[in-house]
Amino acid sequence: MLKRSKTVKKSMLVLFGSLFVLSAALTGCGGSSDNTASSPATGSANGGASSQTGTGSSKPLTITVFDNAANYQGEQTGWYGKLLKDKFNITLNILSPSVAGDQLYKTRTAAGDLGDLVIVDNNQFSDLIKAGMIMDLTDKIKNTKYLSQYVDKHFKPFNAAFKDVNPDGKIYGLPTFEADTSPTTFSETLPYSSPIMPWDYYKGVGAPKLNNLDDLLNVLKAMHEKYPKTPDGKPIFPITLWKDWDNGDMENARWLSNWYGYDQPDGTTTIQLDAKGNIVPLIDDKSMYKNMLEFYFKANQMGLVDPDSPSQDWNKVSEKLTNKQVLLLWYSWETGFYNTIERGKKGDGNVAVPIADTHIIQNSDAYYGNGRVFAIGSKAKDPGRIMELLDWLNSPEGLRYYVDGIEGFNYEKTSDGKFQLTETGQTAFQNNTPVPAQYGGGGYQDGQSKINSMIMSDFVKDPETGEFYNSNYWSSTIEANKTALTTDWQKFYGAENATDYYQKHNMIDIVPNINTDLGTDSSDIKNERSQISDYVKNASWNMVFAKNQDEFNKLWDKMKKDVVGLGWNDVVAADTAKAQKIVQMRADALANK
Amino acid sequence: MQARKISVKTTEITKFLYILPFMILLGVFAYYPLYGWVYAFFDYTPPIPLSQSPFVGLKWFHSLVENKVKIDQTLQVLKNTFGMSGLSLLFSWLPMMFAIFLTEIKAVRFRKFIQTVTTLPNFISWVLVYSLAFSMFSSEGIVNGLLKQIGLIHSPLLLLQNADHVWIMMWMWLTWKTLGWSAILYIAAIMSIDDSLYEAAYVDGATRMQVIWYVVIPSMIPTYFVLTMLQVASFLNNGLEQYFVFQNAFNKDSIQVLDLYVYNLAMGGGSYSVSVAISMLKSLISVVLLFSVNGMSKLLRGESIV
Repeated sequence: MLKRSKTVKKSMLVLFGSLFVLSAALTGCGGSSDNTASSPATGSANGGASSQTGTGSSKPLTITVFDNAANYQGEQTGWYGKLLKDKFNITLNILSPSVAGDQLYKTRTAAGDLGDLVIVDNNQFSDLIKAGMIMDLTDKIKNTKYLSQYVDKHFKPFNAAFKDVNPDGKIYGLPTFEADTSPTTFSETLPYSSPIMPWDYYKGVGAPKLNNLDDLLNVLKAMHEKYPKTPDGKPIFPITLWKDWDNGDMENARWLSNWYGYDQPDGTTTIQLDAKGNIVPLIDDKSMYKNMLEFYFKANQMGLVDPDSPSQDWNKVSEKLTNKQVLLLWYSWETGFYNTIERGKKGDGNVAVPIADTHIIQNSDAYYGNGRVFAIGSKAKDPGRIMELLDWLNSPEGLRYYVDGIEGFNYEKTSDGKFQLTETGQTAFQNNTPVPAQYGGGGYQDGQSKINSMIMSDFVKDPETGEFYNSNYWSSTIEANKTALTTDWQKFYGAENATDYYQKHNMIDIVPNINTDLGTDSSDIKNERSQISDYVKNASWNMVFAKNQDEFNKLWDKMKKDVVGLGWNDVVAADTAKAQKIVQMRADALANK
Repeated sequence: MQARKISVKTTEITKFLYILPFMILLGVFAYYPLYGWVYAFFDYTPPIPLSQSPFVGLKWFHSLVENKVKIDQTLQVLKNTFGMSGLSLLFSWLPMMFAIFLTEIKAVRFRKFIQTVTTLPNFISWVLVYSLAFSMFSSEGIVNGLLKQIGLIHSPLLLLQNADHVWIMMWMWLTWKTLGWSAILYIAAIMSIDDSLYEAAYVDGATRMQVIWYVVIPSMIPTYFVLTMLQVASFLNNGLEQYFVFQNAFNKDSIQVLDLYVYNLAMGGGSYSVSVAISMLKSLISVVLLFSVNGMSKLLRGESIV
């Protein structure tokens, strides 16, 4: 008996011993990334460039930032963290629902305090005002130097739209990413969603003219046959999909619909809207959404879809993009994972490859903002200093730090008083280049602002240079970018850039960007919407990976029938009302042009 | 007479004071949360506080069975829950048999090694288990790589995205993770069997199998019954972490159990009130199950736990 209990004791010892080893090994893995993140913070104590005009920074202040846009949770460290600490004696503690999960919003709002500085979606905003959780900024903004310039044109019209909760037209929130161009211009050189492929591979298979999606599939197949692997042996996938961004439907199918003129307004999940104002329900047999599911389905039948698509997340995809393992891209910013000026010189990089029968729908610059809003929580500890910070973020200095990085490291002044990227600056983001110790050390990308959102965007002109803050549009960058890749492309297509090509060939509709309160769903609609969204997402993925056309059709018909039982008609009615509001506002914006 | 009465009273009071802390704990952690059930009768969405939310009565309960599609959905979820719980109930004797055979191993080091290896997975979180599964069974994982190398398959087997045999697969992962851990109680029970019983059996010339059959198993039956009864009571609570990490668009229909459904509704869709309504029903069914099994045990074995 005694002997037996001894063996139990001993085996428990072995057990705990091996557990200890295991946990040590596991924490060891996670620790390395922490180290790099925290090292700049230690350097900041005896910081170098702290001679800037610090105001009211006697007491250290930590601001809790509830940030829907953030992909990072925790304290802002690195060079940007040091900058804020030196300048304002402020530390940002960022809460990110995309890291911690959507329940963060629900639990914090249920407790009555979301954060000191909040960055939330428009459709959450009116509920928050109603619940008294947002501070009235009307008077505070009057005393600011930079923000006050934008009140009449940008902030007032946005806040006035929240009529139900804001009858007096107070200013509660400052919308995000506002361009200071006009409500109907489109300044970017590449539409948000359009077909994009690696130029060298496309030319490698003879650069055939693409008339429609079938041609696209065939050229993808040809490219894949010729280039099955990257030079260092990684497999290449013609099309790779991911599911973690899916909201009301399959996000990857939603954005491809834009190629053929159909857009799904934010806040709706069941309809698509074209430039003329036609509203088509997703489950319509002729909907563009269905066409795009069919496109992916055909691609999968031809063996062109990455088999890991249903189980991988965006991080995995971005890794593949960085390694040039993907042949078809569609978001404009996806090119940035691989393209560099150095590679461009060798004619290597991802470029727009127009398809003749497409007709793209594109929103104009976000003059009124793009769906989210900055606000100060009603329980914020020191709103004066938060306001001071927000104002600085929109000063030329603040914008340059946010968009372009550090002067002398990322960019420098030219003899004609404009800016140009330094050699380090050209790849500092992709390579996460170490920042000199005087700015706080650490990797450049690691140390960028983790707020990941701004009030006025990089499509605002810097008063000092007269050029946009966005360094892609500096005359010096455009000059440097005249690489083999761009000149070759320009010669081939006879256009300055992709937007120019689409406009010349009448293949794009630019609609005024609308950013407004579309009203909150009643909880009945909310319930129905969430169940329908779930159903539509699952059915869509199953359709893309269906075994044959027959199964594809069966799943489609079943979905059409089942979603009606889940309350489809109510949700479509609610979404149609929202879309009609957008159509009306687009018309107004065009009339005022 | 008078003095005696008082002393009886004071002992009663001291006895009551002994259990008072536990009653308070129970009140705070087991009964106070039941107050949350009121959310099922309101139209609640944060950040609007409950006091400003309208009262809707039984609307959310009704909405679960409003039409055929919704009934089908609820039934499917119940089917998954019963299917997967039933499967593990069906094989609930496995840890017991494992414990018995483990203690029969005479090579002490080998036995300890087996026990450690089988107990360790219990301490790994499901998220890590999933990443392990992913690195093994994804299209570029070890298993597919190996099968391709020896030329058994040409296109990768997509085990994680497959809805076929999902219940069995989930049961296998669960068993792999918990077998060693669940055996610990049985091992303790085996240790407490009186040595004289073994000696008597050996004196009577029993073989090893006979000792297991006539001595070990009968001594374990009470433990087995108690554990099984607890398992039945938590029939509907088969947890959500495992199914949460393994769910995807392809297997969701057959993997979504009650707890996961409640989570997906509340956290995914924000339908707090509906999910409270469902978990209320769940608690009721659990209580009914516990009492019926308890009653059966009383009837069959004359013993019960409640």
